[in-house]
Amino acid sequence: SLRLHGTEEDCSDRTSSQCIRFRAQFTAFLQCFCTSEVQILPVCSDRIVLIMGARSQLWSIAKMSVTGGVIGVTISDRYVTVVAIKGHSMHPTMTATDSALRGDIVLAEKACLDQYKFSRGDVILFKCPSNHKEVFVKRLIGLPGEWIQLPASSEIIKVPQGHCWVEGDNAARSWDSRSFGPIPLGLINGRVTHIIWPPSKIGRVERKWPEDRIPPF
Amino acid sequence: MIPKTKGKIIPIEPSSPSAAAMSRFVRRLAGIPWRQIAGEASSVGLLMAQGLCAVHVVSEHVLGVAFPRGPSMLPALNMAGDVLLTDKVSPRRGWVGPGDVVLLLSPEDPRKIVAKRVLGMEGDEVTYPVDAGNSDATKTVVVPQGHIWVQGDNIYSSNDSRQFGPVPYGLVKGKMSYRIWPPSRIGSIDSKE
Repeated sequence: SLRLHGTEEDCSDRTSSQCIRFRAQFTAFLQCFCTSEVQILPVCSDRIVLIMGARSQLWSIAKMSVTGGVIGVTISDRYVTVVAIKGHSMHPTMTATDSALRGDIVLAEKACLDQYKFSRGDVILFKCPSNHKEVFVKRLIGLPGEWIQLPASSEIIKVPQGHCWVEGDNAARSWDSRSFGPIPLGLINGRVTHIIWPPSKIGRVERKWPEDRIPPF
Repeated sequence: MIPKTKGKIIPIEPSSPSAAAMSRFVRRLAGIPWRQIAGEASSVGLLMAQGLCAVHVVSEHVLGVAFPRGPSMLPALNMAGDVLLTDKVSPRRGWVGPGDVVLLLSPEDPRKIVAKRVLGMEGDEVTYPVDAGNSDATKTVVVPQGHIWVQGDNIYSSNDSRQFGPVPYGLVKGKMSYRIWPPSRIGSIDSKE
């Protein structure tokens, strides 16, 4: 039989009841694996009390991290979230580098997703229409119902209801509505309001748009 | 009479009846255990906030509840009164396929959530009746990359991809998996072409 030793004199009242419970559970657990009888003698030794202490420590750390995670996810879904910029389509407003730490980090708010009311010139985060796993950041320059002049062919198109026209500030390296057309507003994930890194660029993100492409010209 | 407040004994020294009433009132106010009440209120408030956050996380990312209304999915879904469980994990992982009933944000108004059946994924060829009820003409389209073709089961009364074209997959918010009300129709939502 398996025996664990200890001294009972070390027990305080609280730990002894915990020890009794732990002993019962541990015995039952070991019984599943041992064919011979399992016996655990009074186990208020320092070693078992340490195990009890470590167990409740781990449990409270686990509880705190789950609570923190749930609250963090809720805040990030409904109010404000932090995003690191990858890609060069918004240069020079926002730049990226190869490492996430040196690229720009921005603050995006989610309150705009309540009524989907945007203004021309807002910088928005949205899911790519041809790959739902990628998130793009571009500037919204055409609201539903407005007219936009395409740069290539000079023809004027109307942005359909429930859609918007997005373009990056860095026209040469931006894959945007000039290629994939107007996007449904439902793809929008948030609106970028501030840059919070690097320190030289900290501040609000201002609204601007190419004046020569939106009527009246 | 000497009132006892939290073990402190405060002697009475009234100069007039109204002053006596005033000092009694102030003493009673001081006797209320404000710090304890504030402590309990903040811990209850914190607990409620944690509970609401947990509800949000579960209903947005795991399993939600939907109350679809409208005739576009008859006979699979009733016009009103149905309560459906929506699986929020499947769309994020890409486990949505033809025949599934999905919840998506309407491409015509992002504040509206519509329930439709997926008929084609990216690359599929979809043949659909152009003008159901009036003519038998059909059209065939190929669904572009990253998009899906959605149609209501009740083609005579449904505003779907036949009107607004294929929709990006990113608009899908949930997959209807199980009906929990009315009791006569409890069960999983059939997946059919």
